[in-house]
Formats: sequence, C-alpha cells, structure tokens
Amino acid sequence: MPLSGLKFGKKKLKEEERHLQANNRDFNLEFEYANNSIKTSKYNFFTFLPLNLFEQFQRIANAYFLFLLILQLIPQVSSLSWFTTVVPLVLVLTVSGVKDAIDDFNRHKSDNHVNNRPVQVLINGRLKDDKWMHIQVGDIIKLENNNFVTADLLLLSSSEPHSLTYIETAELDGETNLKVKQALTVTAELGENLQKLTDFNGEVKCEAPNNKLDKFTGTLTLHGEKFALDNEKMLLRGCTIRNTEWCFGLVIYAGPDTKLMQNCGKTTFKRTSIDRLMNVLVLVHTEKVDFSYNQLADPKFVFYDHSLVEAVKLDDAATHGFFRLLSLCHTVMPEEKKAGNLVYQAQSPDEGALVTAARNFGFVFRARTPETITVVEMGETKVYELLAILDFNNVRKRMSVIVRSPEGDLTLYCKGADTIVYELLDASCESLKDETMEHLNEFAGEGLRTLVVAYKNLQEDYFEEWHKRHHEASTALDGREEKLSELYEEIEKDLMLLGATAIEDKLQDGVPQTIETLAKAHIKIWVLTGDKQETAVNIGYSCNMLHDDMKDVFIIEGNTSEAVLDELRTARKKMNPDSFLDSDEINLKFENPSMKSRILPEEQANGVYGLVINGHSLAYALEGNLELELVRTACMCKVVICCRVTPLQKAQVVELVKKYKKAVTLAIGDGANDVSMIKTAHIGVGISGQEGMQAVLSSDFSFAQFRYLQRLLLVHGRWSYIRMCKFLRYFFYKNFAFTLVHFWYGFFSGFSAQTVYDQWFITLYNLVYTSLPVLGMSLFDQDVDDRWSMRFPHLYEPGQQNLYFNKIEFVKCVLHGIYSSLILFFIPYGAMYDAVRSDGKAIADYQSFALMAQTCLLIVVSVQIGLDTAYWTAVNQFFIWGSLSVYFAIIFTMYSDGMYLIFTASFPFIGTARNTLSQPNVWLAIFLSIILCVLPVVGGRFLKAQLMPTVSDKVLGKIRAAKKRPPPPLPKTRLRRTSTRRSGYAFSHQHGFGALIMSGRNMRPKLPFTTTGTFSPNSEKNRHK
Amino acid sequence: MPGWRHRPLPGRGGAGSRAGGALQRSAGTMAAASPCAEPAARNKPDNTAFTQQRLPAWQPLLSAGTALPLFFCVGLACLALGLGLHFSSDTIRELELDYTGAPGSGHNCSRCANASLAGAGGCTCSLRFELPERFPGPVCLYYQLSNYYQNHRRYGVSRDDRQLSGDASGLSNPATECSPFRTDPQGIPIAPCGAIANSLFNDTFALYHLANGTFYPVPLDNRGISWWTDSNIKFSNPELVNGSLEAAFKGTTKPPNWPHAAYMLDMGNTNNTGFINEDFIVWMRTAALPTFRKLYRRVREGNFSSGLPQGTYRLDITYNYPVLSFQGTKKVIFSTVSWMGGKNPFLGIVYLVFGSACILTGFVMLAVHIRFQKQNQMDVE
Repeated sequence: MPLSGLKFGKKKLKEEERHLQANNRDFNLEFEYANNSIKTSKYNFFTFLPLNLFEQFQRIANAYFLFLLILQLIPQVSSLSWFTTVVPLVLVLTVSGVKDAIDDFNRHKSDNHVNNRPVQVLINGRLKDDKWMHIQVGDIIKLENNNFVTADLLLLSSSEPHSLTYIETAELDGETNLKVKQALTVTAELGENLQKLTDFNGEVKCEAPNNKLDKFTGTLTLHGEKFALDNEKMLLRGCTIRNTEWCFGLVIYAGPDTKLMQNCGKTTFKRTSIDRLMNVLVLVHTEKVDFSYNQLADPKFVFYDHSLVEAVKLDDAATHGFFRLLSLCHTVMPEEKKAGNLVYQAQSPDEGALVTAARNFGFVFRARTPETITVVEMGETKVYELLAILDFNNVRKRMSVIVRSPEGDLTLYCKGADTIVYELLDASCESLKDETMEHLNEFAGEGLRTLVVAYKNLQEDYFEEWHKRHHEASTALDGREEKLSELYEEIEKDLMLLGATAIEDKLQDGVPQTIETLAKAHIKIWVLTGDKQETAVNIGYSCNMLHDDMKDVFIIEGNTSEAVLDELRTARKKMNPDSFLDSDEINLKFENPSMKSRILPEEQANGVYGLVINGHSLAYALEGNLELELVRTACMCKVVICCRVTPLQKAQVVELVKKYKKAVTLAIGDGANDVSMIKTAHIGVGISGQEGMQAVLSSDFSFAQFRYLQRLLLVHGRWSYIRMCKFLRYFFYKNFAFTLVHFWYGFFSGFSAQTVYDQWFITLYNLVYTSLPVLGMSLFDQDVDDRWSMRFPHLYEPGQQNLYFNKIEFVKCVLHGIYSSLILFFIPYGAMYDAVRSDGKAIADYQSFALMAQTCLLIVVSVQIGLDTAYWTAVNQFFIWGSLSVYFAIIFTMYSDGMYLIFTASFPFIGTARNTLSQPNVWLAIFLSIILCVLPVVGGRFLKAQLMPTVSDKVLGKIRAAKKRPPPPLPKTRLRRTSTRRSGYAFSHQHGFGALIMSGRNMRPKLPFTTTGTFSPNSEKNRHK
Repeated sequence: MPGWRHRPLPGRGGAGSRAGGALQRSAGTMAAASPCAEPAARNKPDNTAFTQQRLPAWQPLLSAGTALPLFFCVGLACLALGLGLHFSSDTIRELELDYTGAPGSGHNCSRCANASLAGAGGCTCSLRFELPERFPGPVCLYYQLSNYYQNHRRYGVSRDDRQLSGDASGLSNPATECSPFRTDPQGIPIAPCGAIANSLFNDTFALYHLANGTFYPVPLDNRGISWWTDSNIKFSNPELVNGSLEAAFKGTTKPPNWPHAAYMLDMGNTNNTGFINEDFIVWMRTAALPTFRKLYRRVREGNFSSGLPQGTYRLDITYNYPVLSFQGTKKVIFSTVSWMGGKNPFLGIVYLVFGSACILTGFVMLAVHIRFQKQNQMDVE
C-alpha cells in the first residue's frame, strides 16, 4: 500500500479504505486517523467573539441594524444620533452572545466528561489506565461489564464461552433487547493473556468511516491468513457491555469516525423559546404485594394481586403447576455473580417478565446447563432434566420444553398464542377452556398480550422413541426444518390447559391518553423506532395509535425499490384512488418542475388508515424518486410507524416531512439514537431518566415522561404560541404607531425627516418604556389555565392554522398602527395649533409638541398592552405601572435644570416637562388621544366576539360559564382499549436461543456462584436417582 | 424512538406481567412492574407559583358587563368635557390683523413688503382697526407667521445651546451644527451662531388707542414673555469682562442678517440684552408647526391693566421681516386667555363629536348583545 499517497500536505484525502495494524501506533499514525477525542463544541476562548459575532450578524435583523448604524454615522443622512441604534443593538448582541457562550460551555463540559472517561489500554505489554481521548486507532483496549464501549472495536476475546459478548444497543439504535457478538476463533484464543495480546499484530483492512450501523466489511490478516470481518464482530461506540466480565477489542474507528458520531447529525443552534418547563411529578400510591416470604424475589418487581399469593401459599396444585411451567418453559439465561443476586438474561422483555413473575411467587429459576434446569420451588431446590426445547418460531407461535422432574415424571410444558394452543388442547379441559377464554377476552380488551400455557405428561417409551426420531431429524442434512416441525406438532397435542398469562407493555403513565388528546388536537403522530416490526406494532396497539376501527393497516416491507414503490402505490390507491388522476393537483405540480414550492397540500383519505414501514424498505423509500410517494402515502394515514430505523433515517424522515409539508415537526425520544432526529426537528424533546443523557443534551426541551408532552404542547406550547403572537402583534403595533407619526409630521415639517420625539425618547422607547410590560405579558399571559387547555384540545387548533399571527393579522396590526398614529399625530396637532398657555406664553413650540406626542404615545401603548394582557399578575401590574412611572421620572430628570447645566448639549429639552405638563389642555389632549385609540379597539373586539365568534371564542365562553362553578378535576378515567388483538407476540419474534442453550455454547464452565456443571451435591443426587 | 416506553433493563422483568391461573379468578387489580426508578429529583424545578405559571392573577374579561358601561360613561364624560371646553373657548376674544401686504392686496403695508423684498429695512406702516367689544385683560399681543418651517430638521439643529448658555468656549468656538452660520468668511465666530438666530423676527409694533380724537400709546409689557426656565437657566450672557457685555462678546461677530450685535438687542436694559433678550429667547424656542404664533407683548399696565376697551386703535409696524419670498404671511393677534389658554375650538368639538359617537356605539353594542346573546349561548350548549 503506497503510504505516501495518503499523506498529502496538510489536507487529508478522502479516506477510501481503512488500513491498520494492531499494536502498531507508528504504523497507524501514518494515516492520520482521528483519535478518540470528540468535539461537539463550536467555539474556543479566542474564536468565540469573532465567530459568534459573525454568526449573529448573519441574522437579518442584526445585519439590518448594523447597516442602520453605519448610515447613522453619516450626519447628512441621519436624523438621529448613533446611540439610538447602538444601545439596543449592543444589548441584543450581548444577551444572545452570553446565551451562546453558556450553551457552548456546557458542550465543552460534556465533551470533557466523555473524553476523560477512563479505559484500560494495552501498551507495551501492560494494561494502562488512560483517558478515552488518548485512544488511537489500532490500540487494544479492555472493557469490563457495564462499561460503555469506548470506540468502534473489533471484538478480540471475552470472558464468556466462545468469546461471546453481550451488549445493549439501546443508546445506539433504540432496540431494547440484548445482542450477542462473537469474536473470531483465531482471536478468541488470545483470551486475557497479555503477552499474546501484545504480540497480536493482525492487520485490518476495512471500509472508510460511515454511518451504517448494521453493516461492516473488512478483512483481518494474521500470519498471512485472511479472515472476513462483519458486523457480528464489532462493538460500536454507544453500546454498553452487559453480562460479560471482560472483553478485549481492537480500535477500528475512533472519535468522530465512529458510527455513533457519524450518525449524530450536525449541531445547529435552534432558537425556539427560552423556557424549559417541567411539571411536578405526581406519584400514585397503591399497596404492593409483599414478597418478603421469598428471599429470592426480585425487589424491583411490583405486583398488586394479593389473591394469587394466597393461592401459592395454600399449595394449590394447579397454581404450582402454572408457575412451575413459567419457571421451566423459556430460554432465559440466569446469572448469579453474587449469591442471591440473581439476574435474568432474557431475549425478550416478555419472557423475562414471565420468569420473574414465577420467581417472585416462589418458583425461582436459578440456573441452567445444557441438560438441566435448576429451580427453587417454594424454598426447595429441584433439578429438572432438560430433554428438549421445541423452539419458537413465527409459524408455530409457541414453544415447549420437555423435562424430567426429580421424581422422574416426564412432562411437556408448552406456552403459546391462545388461538394456536387452543387447537392443541385435550377434550377434557372443555369447561376450563371456556372460563379461560372469558379471561382472555377480558385481558385482550384491556390491550394486554395474552399467552396460554398448557402441559402434557408423556409416556416414557413413547418419548424414548420420539426422542430418537428427533435426534435423527435434527441431524438430517436436508429438510431438517420441516422434519422437526412435523415432530413438534406430533408431540404437542392433547395438552392440558393450565392457564393464561397476560402481559402489558408497561408504557409510561398516561401514554394512550396523551396520544388520544394529541390526536384530538390534530397532531399527527409518527413513530420512528429501532425496535422490530412486531414490537413496534404491539406498542402501536397498546398505546391506542393503531386500533381495530382502522380500515386498514398497510405494511411496507419490500426488499427492492420497485416492491416498495408498488406497495406504497397500492396503499395510496386504496386510500384515495383520485390521487392518481392526471388532474390531481400534486401530479400537475410535479409534472411542471419549474414550480418553486415543494410544499404539498393536504390530501384526504377515505377513512382511517395506518402505515407500518420497515427500516430496509424505508431506505428505498427515502431515495430521491420514492420520497414523494412515501410522503403522499404516509401523510394520508392517521398513524405511521417506521420500525428498525437507524438514527440517521430518523433524521431523514423528519427532514422529509419538513421538506414537503408546511408543518412544524416535533421529535421526542430518550436515547442517543434519537439525537439526530431531535436535532433535525423544529422542536426536539428529550425524555430524561434513562442512563444516557445525550437526547436530553441535544434537545430543546426535556422532561421525564412522555405524558408531559401533552402539557408541553397543549398548555405551555399553546400559551407560548399565544404569547408569542400577542407579543409580535403588539410589537408591530407599537412600532407602527411610533414610526408613522413621523410620516404624518413630514407633511408639516417640509419632509425634512424631523423627528417628532425627543432623541432620548426614541432611544429608550423600545428599550425601557415599553419593554417590560410586553415582557410581563410574554411571560405570564394565559387566556385559560392549564386545566382548561388540556380539557379542550381544540383550543390548540388556531395555533396549527396559524390564526393568531399571519399576513392578515399583520395587516391588521399595520392598520391599527396607522389609525393610532393618525390619532397620535393629529390630536396633538389640533390641540397645539395656535395654542397658548393659560398665562399667554406660547406652547406650540417643537419641544412641547414632542413631549405631548410622546406622552400620548406612551400612555396609549401602555393602555393597549393592558388591554391585551388577559392575566394580570402582580408582576404585570408592577411592569405596566412601573414603566409609566419610570417614563415620567426620566423626563422630569432629563429635562431638569441640573442635567442641562452638566450636559448642556445633550439635554436641550430643559423645562419642557414642567412647562407643558402643568397645562390642563395638554392633559385633555392626552386623554382624548387615549380614548380615541383604545375605545374603538374595545368596541371592535366586543362586536367581533358577539357577531362572529371563533371556535376559541365559543370555548372561552363555555369556560367562562363553567368558571362560575369550581374547576373540574382532570379526567382520570382509564382509557378502555377496544383492541381484540391477541397474543402470538409475546416471544422475541425471532428464532429463540433454544439451539444455543441445548448446544451449551453460551454456558460458562466455571464460575463461583453459578450452578452450571457442578452445583450442589443435592442436585447431583437427584439426577442419578 | 418510543421514548414513552419503559426501557426494561435486562433480566429484571421489565414488562409488567399479569399472570393468572385459570382456576384462580384473578381479581381486577392491575399488575404493574415498574423497573424504572423515578427520575432523579435534581432536575426538578421549584414548585413555586412563579416557575409553575400559577401566579395569582386578575383576569379582566371583555364582556357586556364591562364594555357597555365603559362606552356610556366615557361618552357622557366626553360630552361634559366637550361642552365645558367649547364654552370656555367661546368666551375668549381674539382679533387677527394680517399685515403681510401681499402685492395687489392694496394693503397699507404693501409698500413695505416690496421694500423688504428688495432688502431694505426700517419701513413703517400703520393699521387702523376697531375693537367691537371690550377685551378683558390681560390681553396678549402675538405675531403669527405662516408657511414658515421653523421645524425643519436642518434649521432646528442650527444652534449652539452651549454658546447660548454663556459658555466662553461656545463663544470662541461655536458648534458645528451652526454651519453655515458658524463663522463669517473671515473665520470670526458668530454669536449667536446658527440659522435660527440669524433669522430672528425683527418687526416691531406700537399700539395706540383713539380717545377723544387723539391716539394715546398703549403701554406694552415685554417682561415675562418667555418661559422662566429659558430666560433664567437655558439662556445666559457670557461673563462680563470689566463689567462690560460688549467686551465679553469681543472676538465674535454678529449674525449676517442682524443690523447690530447681540449685546445691542435692547440697549436700554442690561437685563434684557444679549442672549437673555426675551424676544430673542421666544424666537429661539422653535415652533412645532409651519404656522405659528409667538407672544410679542402683553397689555397689563396703566389704564389698560383691566383690558382693552372697545374703540378704535392704530398699530404702527416697523416692517423689516420679509415673508413674501417664501409665500408666508404675517399677522398680529390680540387675544385674551382663560384657564385653557387661548382660543382653540378643536378640543371642544372633538370631545363633543366623540362623546356622541361613544353613546351611539354603546346603543349599537347593546342591541347586538341582546340580539346575539341567546344565539351564542345556544352555540355553546
């Protein structure tokens, strides 16, 4: 490999292939690969000022003011002094600058924290503690249980048998189950032998850094032999090591090159609003079942049904059988690192839950070997001989185990989907079947996932013969699958019903209610998840997004571009056949590419539909020619669920919606895999409380539970929108009223750009006199309180339709401003024309006129903000009255003798306040301006609410009527789900661990507390009985 | 993405389970496993009324109960104020005399107007007029100019307040705003500098009352015609040099349009000459509008302290100030004053009109309210 070719001056060529050698820093340094330090911050101490100012002046408003300032420095052009612009501009720049600085400081802190995490790295034959940021490509590092993976590693060896390593990838891709990675045999031999590891000098050639989480190709060359590398041997940064004591890995990608960072998207500073609000947590206390009788119970498990405990304690045979089944029939792996601290390793959360339930009721699954299962039944240790696992698959929708009890009984335990298992039941349990069916219906009605469990006692000789055939089938070379399933079907019949289980996806509190409320507020919900399709659909059903009333739920899972297009089109044809007509608006639009706007209008479907799309199909659908099709189809559906999507795809989907829809997007998520999406959406929300805080750190808002989203949007979002709109309307109004007076004055001052007001007033008007009242309104205003906002989601709609601030509202503000400015000019004009004071001295001078006009203006805009303020807190009162008082205090101070004597040139208005404001006709004119400006607004609003009430007006009227009664409590009724969906999903939805367990490949030969292999003499005895 | 899901930690029985043997009728209580600990409380905001947006507040509502009384009360108040203003304004006596002397008007002052156009000053003309009724004192004498943009921006800034406040450095080095009336062509600073001072109104008036066939002079008081703050604080003469104001002005020159220097504005009265000359101060308080009147003198002495009696008068005018060049007019106005100042019918009329409109609107709103109240309530139900 021509090394010199890669080094090309200072600038690095685009990397096309990565080449590295283990334990050879000198070699690897040649390539100038990034090391493992990451940088998400934007500035450093020296670049902050220039960069930040440059960024701020990219905003049009700031640039405009800068331009204005330059103009004002030319005396021939400007009618105002430079300080009228400089003071506000500097203030705005400082406030934004400080905020940016604090943001960036926090990023620095978080970067530092991550970069300084400790890790053990192998250097010169010794393990050395080092910081993450010093790790280089080609280093060999050691990770221990529960460690975060430092960089993208090639797994070399681990403490587990066959160098298996368990990792949790939730932070990376959002999938909740554990994944197993396995090292190459040739590297697994290295074990933890430091000498061998130091001598390891394999060379890796692999693809350049990219963002594909599920793909990796490369080769390892060791002693001249080549080994293929794939994703199964990679530990990616962002994952966590679980259930693995230690493992060694070779750094392939570090720092910014890691797949995690490549998926992070760009950091853009979004400025939405300032307030990060959170609600108070409400804890509901219910009495929990006391499991203290069982020492091995999992203390984190909470159960509320006391009757079941009584049954267990009473030694009820059927109940014992039920829990025995749950403790035996599964593929869970136990782990007991410390005595009594039992941790289950489940492939799916459902399985783990069932085994944990059995454990807490006194049937503790303790250990397993390929041949045995050790269970502590009500305190008594029993070792069952495991004879066969009839594993789960999607067709069978059931799994069984065949065990021999210590007493020698042969039993088949089966659990599976109710519809399937019911077919296999023995005729003798007819009555039980009906009763159980009743329960199943009830469970399903509550949206629980049900399973039916059953058993069968086997005859020794029949089983012997079956077992032989089973062995033959499982070693058959062709048709093994079919032969096995035939055998399974043969033995899984005439089962005796034991009972049913029901599992609820423990959603956070109030998730279905929140989703329903948000739907009422016409918010469209798309689920983007890394989970498997079945899990995602399950969640969709359990949180009431998908339901049986939907006309159809389309599933897009095509594996080619054409298939995906076809599926999307079929779906759209069903929903809205008209959308394929040539005359369709959108079709026309895209035939004519010259049209600028890509924004698609709403399309209506002929019913309620759902759409589920798979990650790999989504990859095709997001490609250029299909994305339009995807948007059109997806937007017609009420609910869209994208499953198995990568972090980047999440962001792409958000980007897609932003591109084609005139909609505001909000992304909410809790994992590192949601970061890019959170950054991309208009509003990013992080859910805190998970281990990693990446989502929270990159979010605009964060809170602990999903249900707070409803409060965020319907209460705070709505308030914020109303406040923002009121602020904008008022802001435009007060500035139009202020500015246009100058226009009218132009007609009477020879168009000489004479200002109506004192320069100081112009400087202070927006900055001091009128800033706090509108700030107070923007902070506290609420038309209805939180209860009512949540009660009437309809109140959210005006915001979506942008009713409170749009072009029409803007024009209204302008017209209102013009009207006020006319009043504010011509009333002082009329009052001043030829006017004299009561002592005969003239007051029609420029300074008196200026004072009168500015006093009119200030009082009018203050009354106007009072009129706009619906919620007068003490702060509002203080701000409004305070601003007016400050105004009078300032003018009397600035126009005082003292100020004139000290700063003669700056305060030429000396005496104006005293001489003018002592005149009754000045006050009469001020009063007249106020009522002329304000009363028409009052009358207009009153008449509008009477003659053309809007939806919000009506709701407000309703609330007003109801307010006379005490406010209602929030509805707390539990949402009844109407779903009749059933079971079949409780397993891991993929082929189980059965084969792995039976082969014993994942069993550890020797560990202090595990019972595998050599457990207690007691069990040995039982076995040979 | 579903962040709303509890993410089960491995092996802890993440999903809630509800296991029921078929023989045991499991009671309806819900099973719930909650593996996730409550989020750390450190991020929890203070539960105060302020942070939780629950501050107690007064929530005024715009309803018929508030809007209608508001309109009726304001309407009545406006009518009352309007009537008061109107009658006060009506009691004021005012007499305007135009002495512009526009060419072709046949006016007595036309001759002088032409002369002033030619640049000659010192022309005098007289006006005879009748007062139809007695003007109760104190009677004010104003001059009024029209089409005169004292409020022009460039004109308005053309002064040096520092100089006018008697500051020595202001005398020797006037502010740049005064340009082009800052220095004369020789570079000698002008005092008072600037366009406003240079354009000082310099017509003078003398009033005579005809009694028993003879015109007797009416004493005109020129004291206290400017704001107290102006003549006492804002305007001061430079410090006297050896007791001489003239010496204090040494090294400066007069504004080009002035016949003589500032210290000669009122030769006989040291308290009214230089920068503190009240006619000068009145002129320097620039007007807001292009038509303006400025107080010239007050009649409050001698036989006339109680007012100007009905009868015939003669006004002698020294016509110096040219206005025809910019199509301006000049007037002399005699006016009495009341608590609300001079004659200004505007406020009274607007108050009357608006008060009536308010009451009318109030009735319309009442009608609308009665008509639609029921309907709107029905909608809500």
